[in-house]
Amino acid sequence: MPVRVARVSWRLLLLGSLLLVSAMGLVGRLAYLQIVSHGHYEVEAEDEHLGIEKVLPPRGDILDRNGYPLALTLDTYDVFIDRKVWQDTELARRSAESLSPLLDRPAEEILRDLGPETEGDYLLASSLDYTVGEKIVALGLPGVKAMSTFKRFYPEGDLASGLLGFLGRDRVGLAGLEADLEQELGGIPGTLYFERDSMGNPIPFGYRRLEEPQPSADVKLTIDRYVQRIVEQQLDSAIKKYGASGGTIIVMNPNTGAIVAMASRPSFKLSELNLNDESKMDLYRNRAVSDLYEPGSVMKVVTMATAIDLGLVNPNTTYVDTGVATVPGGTIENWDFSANGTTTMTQVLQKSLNTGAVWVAEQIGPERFYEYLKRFGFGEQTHVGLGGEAEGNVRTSEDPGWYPVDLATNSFGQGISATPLQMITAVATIANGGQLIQPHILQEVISKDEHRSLEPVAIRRVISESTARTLRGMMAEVVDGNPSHLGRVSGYHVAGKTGTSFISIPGGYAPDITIASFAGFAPADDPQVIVLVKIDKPQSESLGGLVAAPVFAELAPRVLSYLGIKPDAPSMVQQGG
Amino acid sequence: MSAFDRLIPRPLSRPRPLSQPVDLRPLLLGAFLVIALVLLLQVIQTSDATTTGYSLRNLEQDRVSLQAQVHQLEAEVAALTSMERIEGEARGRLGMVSPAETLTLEVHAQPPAQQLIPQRYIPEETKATPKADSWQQRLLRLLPFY
Repeated sequence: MPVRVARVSWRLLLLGSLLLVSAMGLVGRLAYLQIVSHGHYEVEAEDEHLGIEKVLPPRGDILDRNGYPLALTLDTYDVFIDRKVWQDTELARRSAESLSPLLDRPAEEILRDLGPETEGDYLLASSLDYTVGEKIVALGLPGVKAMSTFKRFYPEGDLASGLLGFLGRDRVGLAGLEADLEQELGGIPGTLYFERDSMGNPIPFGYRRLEEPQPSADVKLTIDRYVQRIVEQQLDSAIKKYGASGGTIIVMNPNTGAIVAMASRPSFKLSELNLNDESKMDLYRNRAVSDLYEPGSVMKVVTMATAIDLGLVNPNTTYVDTGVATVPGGTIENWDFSANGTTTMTQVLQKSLNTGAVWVAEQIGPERFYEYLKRFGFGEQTHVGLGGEAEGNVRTSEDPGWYPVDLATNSFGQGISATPLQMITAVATIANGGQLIQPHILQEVISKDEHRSLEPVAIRRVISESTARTLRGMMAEVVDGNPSHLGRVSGYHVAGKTGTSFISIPGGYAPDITIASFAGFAPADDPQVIVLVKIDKPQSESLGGLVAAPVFAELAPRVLSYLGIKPDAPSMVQQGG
Repeated sequence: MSAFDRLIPRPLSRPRPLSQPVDLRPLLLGAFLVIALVLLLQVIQTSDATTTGYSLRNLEQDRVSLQAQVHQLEAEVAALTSMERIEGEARGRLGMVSPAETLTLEVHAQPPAQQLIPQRYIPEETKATPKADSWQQRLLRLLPFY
């Protein structure tokens, strides 16, 4: 009987081989996916299943010095549409119809606004009222994501718009105090990690971890809303009256450096804010700290204070005014081309004589003059805490390009530039007894855990107390010693100095275009309030005494009486209009 | 019985068998009941935790919602105390006008305390009394591994 030998057919071998190769291929592919590409697919899977959201803490409020809110936070919702989910036309139509009455927009418009894109989120509604947002969340519509967020609310309308600034679309401060105090107002955002379904919605009871945001704080400013309001009204009124291009008014406590009001024009209005309009970018800066100007004759009080502090002159020191001061490199004349003969230092300030200021500066000498300017804070930031602060330009005798004539022009405030805040801070040094006080606008930071008050900071002593007292007397003579001075205030002794400066242009100064200013404080014997009024390019009048001083005279009594500062003497109490 | 028989020692009692079949049914039933009880407790515990978690989230949502309402009310109060609105009321409703003249008088009296807006911050939260344990939790606490 023949023995049958088991023979594997070649077909079976081929099939087996194919199966083996296929199996090896699959195993290889599996190994590639699971081992080689593990990291990549792990990240993809996490991205698919793990949602990450930035959680902003509620933004802090901005309060005035009495606790009245200037900027508040309101909870709102942003509503997004997941375009991928809304590719289902019927589903999209039904969802849009459900959203329509809540958003007060036709369903067709909602669908049309989605655009032709098929992927990505579309911002359907921003800063939606919280109750409306909650209703949308409750609807649970597929592909509709309602994100809790907030918006700013300004109870006082456009008051202090330029000072407060605004937020960007990401709810981070972009300009003004909103940007400068971002750390306090914004807190530190947290992160929410959550498990999500294929629609991107959180899975109930799925993985959820919240890294808590660090809470923000409210900030209390030194600004007083009432004073700020009347300052803005006065500034707008003066600009309109004199056909000016703009201006700045600052009200400050000279003893503490607390800024009670600060307004600049041109500026923007919060109610008309349009971040897409690039032509308005120029309006977003705070001109009181960022724009430089030549202070003009207000600088004469600084020159005089320097000379008195050095013991070179006293109020009764005289010089002979011939109407012209000749210095190397040029001649200086008085603003009214007058020649006053023998003139005292007090009269130099009263009549605002350029030749007198030049004579005083010559007595001081350039080294000491510029040393004092530096001590008064010119050429350096005040560190008030407002963004965009300029340092100013002071060219000293040690700088290249300085000429002796510069000392002469600098003595009466030309050829030197400063910010309005630097100028009022320098004059405040005279008002407060000789200390350079750091101006500040932040009074208190209030969080749930702590109330942090900011104390006034005295930077340095600039002039002696007796020099300051002497200067106060001389400045009081400038205003109260002149019955026709337009800066006089009924009921209060006022000390002050006017300034009229020309605007420098390439090659010289623009003729007939001036900056009119007045720096004054009251009561003159015990100053509690100092005001700087600066009006740019007034058309109908040009002199500080005619343009800026009357603004001070209208503003000061309202501020003084509001702040409860008693009139100086019963005889000065006003008894009628 | 013969005499020899008496000489052979007799066992004291009847010899027992070396092993005896044990009825395992009660033991199995008991083990089953214990396992079932443990599993039931586990289910109850999970259910309880889920319910509590759900309640917590609801309460958190309520808190956020109420906080939003507080912010809204604060904004309304602020809007009502704004200077623009006060001036509008004074001029429009009360018919007041700007003073034509200023009269400054010295009054020897203390001014009234300034009335500010309502307190900005929520007062200190009183500590909630801990909720009594449910019977399941009391039962669970008896277990050594809980």
